[in-house]
Amino acid sequence: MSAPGAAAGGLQRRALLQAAAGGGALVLGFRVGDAAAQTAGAGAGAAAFQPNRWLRVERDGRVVVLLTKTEMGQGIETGLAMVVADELDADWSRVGARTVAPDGRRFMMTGGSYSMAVAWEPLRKAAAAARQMLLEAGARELGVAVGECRTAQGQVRHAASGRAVDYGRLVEAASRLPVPPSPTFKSPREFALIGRPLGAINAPAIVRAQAVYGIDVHLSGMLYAVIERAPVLNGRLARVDDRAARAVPGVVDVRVLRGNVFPQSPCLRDGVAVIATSTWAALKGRRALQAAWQFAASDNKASNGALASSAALARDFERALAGTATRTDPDTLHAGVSALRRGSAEGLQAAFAGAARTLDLRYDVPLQAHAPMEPVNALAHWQGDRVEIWAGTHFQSRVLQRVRDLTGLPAERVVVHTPLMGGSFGRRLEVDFVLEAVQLSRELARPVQLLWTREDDLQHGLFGPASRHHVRAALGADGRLLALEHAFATLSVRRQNEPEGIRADGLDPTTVFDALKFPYAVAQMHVRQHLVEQAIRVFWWRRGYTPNHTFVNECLLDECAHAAGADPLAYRLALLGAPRVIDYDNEGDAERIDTGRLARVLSAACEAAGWGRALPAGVGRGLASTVTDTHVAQVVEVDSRAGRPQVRRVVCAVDCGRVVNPQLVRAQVEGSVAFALTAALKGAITLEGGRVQQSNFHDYPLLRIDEMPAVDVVLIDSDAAPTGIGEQASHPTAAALANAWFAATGERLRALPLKPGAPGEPRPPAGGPTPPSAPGSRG
Amino acid sequence: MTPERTISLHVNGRQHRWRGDPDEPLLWALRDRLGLRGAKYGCGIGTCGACMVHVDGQALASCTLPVGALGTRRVRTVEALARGDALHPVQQAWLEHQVPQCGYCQCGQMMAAAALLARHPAPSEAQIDEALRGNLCRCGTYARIKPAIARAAELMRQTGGRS
Repeated sequence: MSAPGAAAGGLQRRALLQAAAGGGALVLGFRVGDAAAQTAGAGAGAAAFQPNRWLRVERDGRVVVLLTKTEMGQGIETGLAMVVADELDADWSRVGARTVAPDGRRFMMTGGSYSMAVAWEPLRKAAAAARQMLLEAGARELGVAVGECRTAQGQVRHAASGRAVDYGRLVEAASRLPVPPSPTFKSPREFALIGRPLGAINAPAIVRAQAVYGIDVHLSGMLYAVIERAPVLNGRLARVDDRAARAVPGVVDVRVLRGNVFPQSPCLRDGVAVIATSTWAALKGRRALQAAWQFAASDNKASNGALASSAALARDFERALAGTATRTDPDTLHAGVSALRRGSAEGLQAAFAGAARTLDLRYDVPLQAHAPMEPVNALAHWQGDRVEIWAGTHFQSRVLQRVRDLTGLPAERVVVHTPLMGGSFGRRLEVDFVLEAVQLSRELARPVQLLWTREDDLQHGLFGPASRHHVRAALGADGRLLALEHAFATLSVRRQNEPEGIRADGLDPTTVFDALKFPYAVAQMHVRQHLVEQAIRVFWWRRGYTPNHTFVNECLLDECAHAAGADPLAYRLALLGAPRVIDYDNEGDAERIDTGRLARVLSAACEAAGWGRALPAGVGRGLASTVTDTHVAQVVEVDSRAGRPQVRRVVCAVDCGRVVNPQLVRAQVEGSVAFALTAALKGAITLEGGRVQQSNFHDYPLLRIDEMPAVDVVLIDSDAAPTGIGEQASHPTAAALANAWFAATGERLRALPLKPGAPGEPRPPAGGPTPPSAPGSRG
Repeated sequence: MTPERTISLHVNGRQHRWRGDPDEPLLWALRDRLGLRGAKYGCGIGTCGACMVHVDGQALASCTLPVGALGTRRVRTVEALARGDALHPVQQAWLEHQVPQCGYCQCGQMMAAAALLARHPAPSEAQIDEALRGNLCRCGTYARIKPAIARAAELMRQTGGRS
């Protein structure tokens, strides 16, 4: 299935839940006939016991957890394996995990920090059923009653006699038993692994340099390719002189790739591929190319890449917010759409008319790069009537679908291996680079590894969507929030990638969802979306528009609190009111905020951070929170005394339900904070004349070790089912920092990245705007 | 165009006869020609440290180091950090502190840390910052790298030091 609209940020949760259940509702149907399941039920001669698609027990006792989720640093491989191993009573030292190959029937995608939430129940059921079968087989083997046996550490044990039998020896007997339709779960008190800070399964291989990433996959006879692409989107190749490139020793071929051979991936542009016997020869050959490009003469900003620029984007955002859009530019500015009204137009007007105080604020979020440390790459081996692919992707179903569209090969003739990924942050949900590799391998009839260089990644890639927000707030005499009017302009990921998901009235539900997810008391709340089109490819970046709206809403709450003369924590708690559960409609599915849990993480973060305790002049604390299943609150402590923000400490309180592995949860929080600080302090992609102005880490700097603050994580005890933590903790950091900067200096920063003392903003108390400089090249 | 040359490369205690473009960065020679893929490509301009190796004991970015400029200098890659099954104290500490997330940058991080500890067995925080600030991590594992280096230093003291 193609799962319309399914990409991390915009995906429909219902589709995901079904996907987690295997594309049907058959978690416990244990549909025999799955390629991997055919040994199950075989009885005598069974190679392994595999009662379902989630796990197998080998004859030597090893347990392999079969994942449809993909590891990319978020620890999900270990987390899911722990769930299975615990419910199975497996011996953890003998548990492994691997990502299965997509089969074209099951939807396979990892994203949105949903994996644990959607897999928890099905995995436990699968493992509990397997445990029950092994228990029964073991009791028979030992010649005793089932009720006298128990399972532990990969064995069935008979306490009375002290005898035990290993799971591996029960493979055949267990395979003959019927799968219990409703197995009994362990009680949480019996958990032996869940809740323990176990190390990641793949950590030993990583520290031994034995982990194999996509870029490391090697086939004999393989070729290496890089592509020189049109410098602007939709640019066309006019002509190319490849004689010098072909003369470079090791260069095997030069091929022109027309972007439109990949109609399903419109982000691809014309390019010239240099294919060689080594990466270096390919890079050198690429440098020797003489290519001339032509750009469309059209004045349509949606299609003419040469017209894209940050300045034009800012102008279009302003015009869209001013409401003049449709009259002036029908192609590229869409009419505003009201997404939700809490209250009425009259009510809103009355609230502002009667307000004791109003705020009129503008916030800005720039384009952002994903910049995973491993640049995207793919190895394809075309074999005539089939193709084998090794690619760091976490949207395997999309690979199958797009490769079929490109080549006509059905899913069963497209074999996708998923090696470990060197990060993604959303980038690897798009499969453009896989298609390029497949096309080149097909043309050359050789295995070809395509590498995007760092420059390709930053200049020709996909970017987290920029947005501009105009927010008006009305406060009553008591300081409470009476009304909120939020208009924002942005580029639509969905309109570019899945236009069928745009509503008839023009609303892109993914852009507004996180603006509407506002659990604080306000009688009037109006949100209005304005979509702008430019030839800039935007894509999911740490979950849709959550980073944008979290920055806006969480800064806004802080501004309201200060306008009301209230403490920001007390103000939030007052607006949250009595604990209650609010369901937000995420395209037909409910996403839930429990205001009691939210209040608890807010209070816990503040308590751990020493909220309210005195700080030296020029140092301040700021608070922000976010909820995407998991309730997260952060307090950032910033020192302004050097004239620039120096983040000293971040305290993060997390309620993600039952904590499966506390050290992995903490790791995700620490990492999310670092990622978010890069965006808050440094990161921005800008364009001029259609060209991205950044090209590598010297001008798109990332946070470095000497800028990393202490991160304290407070985990809230909970018996609720576990929810995700892959990226939630990255969402509130920018707002918490901006709020802290205000507390430290009195200066409000409303544009990311935060630039103290920028024109139009008040100056900070000391020093000037000296952003940390990137160190020079080493080596 | 630079003519090809035959070069003797000293890598992990072995000599390799290598023929090719002397401008080729050591990174690609290691990965594509010698099959040593622990050093990773991240930026190609020496700003991220994912490709770090030791050259005569010094941690350097191999992506900007032409093979032809190496001369007789000794290269050690992350593959030679452990001695057989015995992990280097840095690797041991990296495991104990569960540093890696995606892990892609960690070979470079560990090589930088190992070179630092060989020079400064008890590095100050400022020395750690200085030695590791050329190593980027997009997953944000920095918070664990610092205590892991302290732990590695402790392990080295316990075992009489080795690097």
